[in-house]
Amino acid sequence: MPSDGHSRTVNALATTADGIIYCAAQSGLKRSVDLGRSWRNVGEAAPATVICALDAACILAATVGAVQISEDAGASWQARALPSPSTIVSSLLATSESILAATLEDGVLRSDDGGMSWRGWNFGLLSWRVNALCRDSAGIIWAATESGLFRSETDGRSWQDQADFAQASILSLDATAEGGLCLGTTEGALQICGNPRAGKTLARQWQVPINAICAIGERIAVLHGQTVSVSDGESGFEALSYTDATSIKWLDEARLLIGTKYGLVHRIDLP
Amino acid sequence: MIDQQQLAQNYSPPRQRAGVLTQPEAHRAMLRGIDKLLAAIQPTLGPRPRIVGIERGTRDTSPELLDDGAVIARRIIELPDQYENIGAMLLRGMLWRLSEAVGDGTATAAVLYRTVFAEGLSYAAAGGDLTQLRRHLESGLAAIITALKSQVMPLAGTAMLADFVKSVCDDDDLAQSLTEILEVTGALGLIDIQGGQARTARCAYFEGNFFTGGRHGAGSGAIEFEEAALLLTDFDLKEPDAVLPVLRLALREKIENLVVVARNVAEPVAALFARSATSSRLRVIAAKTPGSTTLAQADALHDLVILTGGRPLLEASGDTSNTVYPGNLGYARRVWIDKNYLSIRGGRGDLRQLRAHIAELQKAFEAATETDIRKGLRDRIGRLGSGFAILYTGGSTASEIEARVAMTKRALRTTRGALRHGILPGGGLALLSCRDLLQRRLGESRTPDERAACNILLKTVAAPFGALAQNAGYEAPALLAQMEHGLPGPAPFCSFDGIHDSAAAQIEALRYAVASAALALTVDAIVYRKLPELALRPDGAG
Repeated sequence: MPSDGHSRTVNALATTADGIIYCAAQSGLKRSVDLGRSWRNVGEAAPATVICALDAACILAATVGAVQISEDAGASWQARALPSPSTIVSSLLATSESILAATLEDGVLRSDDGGMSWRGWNFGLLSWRVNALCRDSAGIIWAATESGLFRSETDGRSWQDQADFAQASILSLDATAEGGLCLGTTEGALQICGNPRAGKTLARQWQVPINAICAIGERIAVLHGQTVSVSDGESGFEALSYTDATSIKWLDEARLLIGTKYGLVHRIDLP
Repeated sequence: MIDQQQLAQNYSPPRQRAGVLTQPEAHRAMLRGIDKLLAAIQPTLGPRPRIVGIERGTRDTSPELLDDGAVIARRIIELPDQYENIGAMLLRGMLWRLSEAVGDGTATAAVLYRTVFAEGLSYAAAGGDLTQLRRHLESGLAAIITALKSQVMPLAGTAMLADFVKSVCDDDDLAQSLTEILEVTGALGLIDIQGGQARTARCAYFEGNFFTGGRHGAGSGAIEFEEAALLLTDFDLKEPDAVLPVLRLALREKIENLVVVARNVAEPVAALFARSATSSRLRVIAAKTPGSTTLAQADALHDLVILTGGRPLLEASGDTSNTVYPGNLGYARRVWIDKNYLSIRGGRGDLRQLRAHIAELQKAFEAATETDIRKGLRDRIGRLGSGFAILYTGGSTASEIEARVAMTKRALRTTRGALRHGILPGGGLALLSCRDLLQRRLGESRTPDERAACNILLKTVAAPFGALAQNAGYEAPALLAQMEHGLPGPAPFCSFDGIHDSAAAQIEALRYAVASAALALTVDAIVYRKLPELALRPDGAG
């Protein structure tokens, strides 16, 4: 993508099983069908904060005050308005029954009708500033908030406080293949839990907030500040020579995508 | 509502005579009274429970349909025979105390109580020492409770919860809704049970921290403020002048929406606030300080402060509206208010304080023993949990709606107890399993009183199973022998694997029943005074 400064910041990336890459940027939604070599605008040119591919055809994205839904691999999009006053969506997740939108002011919004209507659904969620959502291999949904970690075993219909993480302001999280969780805090602590219910293990401490974590197989990529570090699961984390990063996403176990604040998406081939 | 005058006309007080009744007539009369009360309660014992209809005292209203042993006992005010009445009232009092404590297990307790009392009388007739017997019964009771506690398992997972609720209320539709609502709100969530016309149960969920009280003033519609400030007080706002410093502060702080929480708001102040409804600079609404007592209001204000931040203005601290400053104000993303409720969503209080506050309340809840205090604490914890749910359950007639609402409330209470304290194998099997322990104690017994206590307890722990079998139309000994030989019992006894009882209800039922019956056995004489007729007339007329 051409770079024209911060107005094109890449906020999020999504990939499908057939190798199509989607990008949520300040300048709008983009799609690449050639592994990032070329990009095409899709949907409205509104700033997008989050993008999430449910399958090859169904893509969800969040723009200001709305969730955009495409059911034809990004060819056409329909905007579904979120309740007023508008809030920033930090994460999107689809469950078997509904779509969950994590927000920075209204907790988790829920839609049971494909995005047509939304309502707050925060039973047990003490903190309504939700920075990230993810689902682990056991189907449990985890919510990272500014005041701890919350768990839902009811498809996001109710939340339980994870007392072990009560003091942490968690900015990012992702589930590992073994059923564990990786969490990143605003203080730069990376915690990797084999069993999140059993407690936390400090894996690495940086001095800057961990803005994103992405796990695939044995590998974990961490966006701390604007720098990306990668671990292969055996040795420690190794920083990549890309700065100004704003988002990360694994294409597969050997290829990592890095979005930057200048609107670039780099594809890194790892050994 | 019962017409008191009509009730008085229909009510014939039993013939009363003063006197003293001694043994053995006193015990026999008490047993007859216990049997009469038990006959009204035993049909409600599962797994095929039946309902008991109770006349309301007026002929033009449908009877009350009940399946709760404690409420049935409560409705039986007095037996015609004054000496039988003593036995019945002792049992009645025990059942009500048990119901208040754990919410369930009353029919089981009635059966256990009757067994201990009747068997104790047989021992007394053979010349046994009832005081010594009581001591050994209480010692055996402690051993059985220890054995029961070792069988307790947690109520965990959706499938187990659904099975348990089903076994408590014996209604598929209701069990499904109750399971759903408990899963969403949690064991301590704020749940209201309301009657409706539809037979099918329905759940409604409301987001936010709900407080009772609602708005001051004549308006009845709901109002929602976004990005609102809250001033929390226990003041009586009588004059408009008293609120001017607050309004000036709000304008200075560029607040657009302000909720003033006060105990009372006089008409001129309400009118001043009402005029702000169309203002583009500052909209103000007055909300009642939640809670009906001073203590409840203080608790609610404390909860609101934790949720929204700020500092409350309290009369007791010498605060006035002239002393208000920006730090007094709390904030919330949304405030919704109607004539009955105040709801806060996205309060801007300190989350660590909120979490610590909830933990403190939970600790106090676990430690509390009085029902009212526990309920108050549970409501406070529920209010802080970000949501409120209503379960509508109904029927086609007033009696059916009333019965289903009562059953739902009881099922909810029992299930909450089971979620906290765990569950035991149902159908009387947990108690039956204690027979081995009692057989061992019997073998080790050294005195006739001790042996008698073990024999009584052996019969007692088998009594609920016997009553269940009888309710289902089977002979208990034959059924027991069949099951002990590994043969499948008839339905519903073939599927006891999935049936569980609340551990708290079972253990407390046993504790209350054995301890109360053992005490009742030591009653040696009954003294009955002739009461003035005035006191017997329900309408109070002479």
